[in-house]
Amino acid sequence: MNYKDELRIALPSKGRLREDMDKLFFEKGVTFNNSSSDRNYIGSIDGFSNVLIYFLSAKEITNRLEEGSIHLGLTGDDLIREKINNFDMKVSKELEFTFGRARLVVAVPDLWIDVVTMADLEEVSNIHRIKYSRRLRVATKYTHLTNQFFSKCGVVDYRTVVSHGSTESAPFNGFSEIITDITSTGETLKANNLRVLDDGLILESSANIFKSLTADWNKSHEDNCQEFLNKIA
Amino acid sequence: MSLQEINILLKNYFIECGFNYVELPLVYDSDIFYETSGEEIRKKMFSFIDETGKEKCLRPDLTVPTCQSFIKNQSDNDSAKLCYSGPIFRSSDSLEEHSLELNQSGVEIIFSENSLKNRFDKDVEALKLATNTLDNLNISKYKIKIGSLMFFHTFIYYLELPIRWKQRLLKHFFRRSYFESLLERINRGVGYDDQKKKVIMEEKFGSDNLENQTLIEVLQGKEVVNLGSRSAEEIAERFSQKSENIVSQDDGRRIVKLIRNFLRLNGQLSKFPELLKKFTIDSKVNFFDEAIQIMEEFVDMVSSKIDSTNIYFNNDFGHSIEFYDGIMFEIFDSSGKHKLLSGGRYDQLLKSLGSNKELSAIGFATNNNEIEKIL
Repeated sequence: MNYKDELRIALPSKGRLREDMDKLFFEKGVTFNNSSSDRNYIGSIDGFSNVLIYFLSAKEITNRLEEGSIHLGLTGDDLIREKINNFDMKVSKELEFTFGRARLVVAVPDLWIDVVTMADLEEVSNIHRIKYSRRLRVATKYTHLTNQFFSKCGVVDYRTVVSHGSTESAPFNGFSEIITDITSTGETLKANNLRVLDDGLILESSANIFKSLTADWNKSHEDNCQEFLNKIA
Repeated sequence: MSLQEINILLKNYFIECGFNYVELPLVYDSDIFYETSGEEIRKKMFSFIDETGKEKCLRPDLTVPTCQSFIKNQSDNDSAKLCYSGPIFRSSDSLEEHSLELNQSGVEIIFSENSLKNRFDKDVEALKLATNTLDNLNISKYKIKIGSLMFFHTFIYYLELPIRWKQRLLKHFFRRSYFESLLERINRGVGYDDQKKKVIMEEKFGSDNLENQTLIEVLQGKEVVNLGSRSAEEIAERFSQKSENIVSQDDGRRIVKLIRNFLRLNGQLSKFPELLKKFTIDSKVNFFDEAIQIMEEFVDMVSSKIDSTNIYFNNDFGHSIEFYDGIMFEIFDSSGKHKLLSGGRYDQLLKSLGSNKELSAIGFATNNNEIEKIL
């Protein structure tokens, strides 16, 4: 068997995304064949002779799609758009799932009753800058998407500060003034006294199968890819 | 002439003209550029994380580092004439992989406004030096484009708009598409939806009609940490302001038309005051006489020092870098294809970098990569 002819697919190794994917694959009759145990990070699929499965984190899958060492990968729009510059030249979306849904939103302290829209934020950040000679800080894991969105909304007197977790507490512990964060139901934000701005939706994301446009593709890869997509669609 | 030779020649020229050369590092904390130039500079910067986890970058600009070095050694100085020469690093937006090392030579004149005999002394000095610099390179044919944010400011200041909207228009003047969307909003009339305000009060505090003072007290009654970085007074005050100062649709339309007509004005500098006078008569604007006098003063001063036949004033002209706030200028070669030099006035930058005094500044930088092409 020629390694080069194998279609390389990366799937999430753990977490909610993995659980939802397992459920879907079970329904579609896709079973993995891991050579030794469940904890193995390389496997294959029953009935597909030329397919290699790698189990990786969603973030790593995004990197590998960009770099081209895998052909297909399951990850979220949020990571693709945040991490890959000119993403539409490097990956294409082949299949969209109903799971892994999340929204990237702009949230402010709920008691800021005068701030309801991005236009309010534009003004308040300007006032903040004049008053303190400093920019309004936005804590986020998603600096790229945040910058794109704020710039579109004319908000300029801010700067992003990178937060790697518990972003929702940042406005109340001195790390930032406001945040952008991923939310599915909005409950966590609410419980933390934050409110999403009326027009503060940056991105709606779901789990998808992406195709790497930077990987090497031959006829055998293409055929296998089509067969795999038909099976899980 | 090679780039290197141009860099050296210009550096020596500025030193000859009485400027102090500042030796500047290539690598900086990224922070200083985010604070002064805004997030828009982020995608153009070459940055990396150092071993302590701090973000550093190759300098994307030389004005900020020069001013920063002035402030570090400021002590009692309230004026300085500084120059620099060398590469800056900016990536381009295009997909082609030519990322960029651009060579600039420039000056920054730092001064206190109180020390001036005429308000345009330093603007004219900078313009004069800019043209001399090109003459010194034997570039004799060029076009000078001038604009002024101050002038636009004066115009906007007199319009019957809420102060918040005036500030907004000024601030976003250079962000073309957002500026357009602001005009569109004024066109439809502006003001806060009273209904929405009541809904918010009802939802949060169980009453839809709280006076400002009561609102402050209610907000103060909440756990203070939940206000985040703002005070109860600040929030309550802005909340009440939002439903005041409403501009009707008719007034909005009239004002937007006036702004658009104003921005269309451009022409030879020497004829510009006449153009303005005609504009005020045609548009029945009666508030602009003083500004026109000031413009005449500016034109006279410039014409007395520089051959003004190739100078054009354009109301709709600006830079894309955030910190300029007064006169701005660009000089092109005679074909108009190569931007040889650009500069302007930036009175707020020094303060935002931590100056202990109110100081003004003006400067310019040559674009040596472009100059190399035409020499």
